[in-house]
Amino acid sequence: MAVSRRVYKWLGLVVIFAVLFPALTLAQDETAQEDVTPEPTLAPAEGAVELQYWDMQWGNPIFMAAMQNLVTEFNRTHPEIHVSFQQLSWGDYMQKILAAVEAGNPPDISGGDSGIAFNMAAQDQALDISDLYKEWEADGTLADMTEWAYKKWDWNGMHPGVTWQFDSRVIYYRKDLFEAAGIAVPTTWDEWLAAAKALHKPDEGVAGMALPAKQGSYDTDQFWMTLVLQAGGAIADEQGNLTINSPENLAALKFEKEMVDCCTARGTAAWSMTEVLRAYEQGQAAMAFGGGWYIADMQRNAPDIFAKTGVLPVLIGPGGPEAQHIVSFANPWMIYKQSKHPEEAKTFLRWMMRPENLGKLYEAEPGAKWPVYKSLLQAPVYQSNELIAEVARQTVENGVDYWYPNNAGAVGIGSMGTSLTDIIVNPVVTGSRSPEDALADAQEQLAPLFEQQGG
Amino acid sequence: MQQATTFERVRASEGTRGGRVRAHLRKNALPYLLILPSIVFLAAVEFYPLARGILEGFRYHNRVQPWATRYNGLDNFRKAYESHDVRLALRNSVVIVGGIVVASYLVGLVAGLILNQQALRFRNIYRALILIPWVTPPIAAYISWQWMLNDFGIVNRVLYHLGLVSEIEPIIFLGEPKLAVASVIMVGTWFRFPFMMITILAALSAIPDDLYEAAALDGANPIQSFRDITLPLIVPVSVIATLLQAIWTFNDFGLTYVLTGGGPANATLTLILLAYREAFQRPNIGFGTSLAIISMVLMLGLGAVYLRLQSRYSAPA
Repeated sequence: MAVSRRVYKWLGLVVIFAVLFPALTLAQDETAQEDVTPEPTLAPAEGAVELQYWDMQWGNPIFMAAMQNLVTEFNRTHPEIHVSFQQLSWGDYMQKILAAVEAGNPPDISGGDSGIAFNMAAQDQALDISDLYKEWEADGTLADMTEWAYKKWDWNGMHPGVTWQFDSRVIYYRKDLFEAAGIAVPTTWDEWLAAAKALHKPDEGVAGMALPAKQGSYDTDQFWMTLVLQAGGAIADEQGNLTINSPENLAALKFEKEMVDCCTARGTAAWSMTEVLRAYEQGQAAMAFGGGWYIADMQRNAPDIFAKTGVLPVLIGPGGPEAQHIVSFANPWMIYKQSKHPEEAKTFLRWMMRPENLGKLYEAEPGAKWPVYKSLLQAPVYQSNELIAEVARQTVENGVDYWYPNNAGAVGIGSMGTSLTDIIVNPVVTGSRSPEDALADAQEQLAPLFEQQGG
Repeated sequence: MQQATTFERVRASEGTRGGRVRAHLRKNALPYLLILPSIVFLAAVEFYPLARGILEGFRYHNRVQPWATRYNGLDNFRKAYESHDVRLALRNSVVIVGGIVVASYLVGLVAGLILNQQALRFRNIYRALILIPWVTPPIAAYISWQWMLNDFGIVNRVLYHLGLVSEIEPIIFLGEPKLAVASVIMVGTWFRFPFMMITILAALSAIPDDLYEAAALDGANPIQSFRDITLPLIVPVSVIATLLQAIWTFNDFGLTYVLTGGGPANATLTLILLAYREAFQRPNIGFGTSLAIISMVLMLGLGAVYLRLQSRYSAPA
């Protein structure tokens, strides 16, 4: 019996459902990754002390090759020590490190997220490197560092880590749209909100402001924390107690809600920074919150938008000029207490922290890593274009992170995960709870993390 | 007094339970020795971690508060019972799993019925194409769907070109709570319906054609044939496949983690995602493990039902 046409119609629908839509994504044009091979590594010299250095995938292949090359250069200039570099993925780095720690075989040195050194110190796994800090103070290194780069790690009578790079967040804006509308570049929250309202043209498909608000995403809390810092708020007080439910933090949350309601795209509640960047590059946003990597991405994918883009100055919020900050994650290197060769590990760390060596990493991927040394602001990499120069300047002059100004609550802050996003920001942005309720709930749920700090 | 012979002593010892076991082992030592390496391996990578994991559910264990680690009895489970987030996650899981299972069954049934038609040309090609979702790595698939469903994704572009949405007012598939749930169900259905299709197709192939011929001779129309012949005969396979699908879908962490992160506003937060969030992001390992144990108990219950049904449907009539 022949098959009826209706059957073929149903069959066609099923096949399309199965195949066509995912197939379309395979047709997307992907930018080819550059094939970058690091220099050949050296074999350890006989009798050399062997160290393990683990660090994250901090950048593109060029950056990672630069990291390996730096390690190779250290090995070449220090034949008595041999460092093996292992790259960790962001997906499971903490599980790997914890498993190694519990097995009694952690790396000698590692990087990680911006709170890892505190978390390890809480578990008595971080070596106190206060002696290195004394050296750096004596030789002027600390004087050249931005204050938060070293102050952050002065904790509980020890120094469990040292900042080697900042990862900053700023607000990019379309200079041409501002000029066409006759709007001056905002310097305060009120001016910023007014500009967003004036430039918000949903009928033309342009949002005044693009920001991330997706649940479960670390991107989301970074925008709110920028507002918290500028409102003069903080996550913890001087005693290390959680102070999430404060008037300053409430003001920040209400401001974000107002910004989202008036001036962002309808899908904001599902946006991470990927969507923010895409909207901005497609000309669908007048302003966008994001990281340094936006600059290289715009240069590559939207050069016309790049040419018209500026960076908003650090805004003055309710906290006043003293609270003019941007979020800049101070990412550390640390040495593990279980290291069998702590002195050699310190030699490696000392060498890596030299400005000329860190500079090689910063140069490898312009816009990806921001300097801890003020003297490096004038390095060619940070003068290569207007956007990079501005973000570098804001990082050095105004950059702090979630542990500012009181790192007494360091361990709790580092263990919140995406709680700020899930309990506070996303529910408020979607309108499912009020800012007051969200902060009160967060205070109750997260307070136990801040108890008994430091053990 | 005559002493028992060795033979009599052995026979006497074999009369006890311990003796019978020893005798059995003596006769069958080799098979046990041969499977011993596998048992040791399983014990090391499955049983021991499982046992340790279950014990973890009865501890207060926060990774950044190692000094506070202690056994706390049923406190984690009590906290789970009282937690609004846990109740919400459980409800979301039931809705999402139920939606995916029902939708994937229906789509799989339609596909199976179509592909069962003998006269259909290129059946094998269609079958291979329809299997593509099932063989695609899940995370890659979910990321692709996330791109396709966002505001400027290809789904909105297609709808715009079909005149169904305006360019400046796309459908916010992943940003509005109800739409996000529907989108998660749709993507889950896309990923899982091929398994249903394959299973139902196998069951359909086993139905003798003469039943349909006899029904046709008796004047039954296609709907009556489907209702009175096809459905009753594929029910056993359908029930078992549905149960398996429910277990797999319940444990599918990647679907909501990638697509929505559990949002917006916890609308797609599932129990397994909540367990991950608690254990690895809070990082309250004890409480997160207790949620995973609750999930495991629920799935064991479904598994027990599955085994019972399997033995019922496999038993000779």
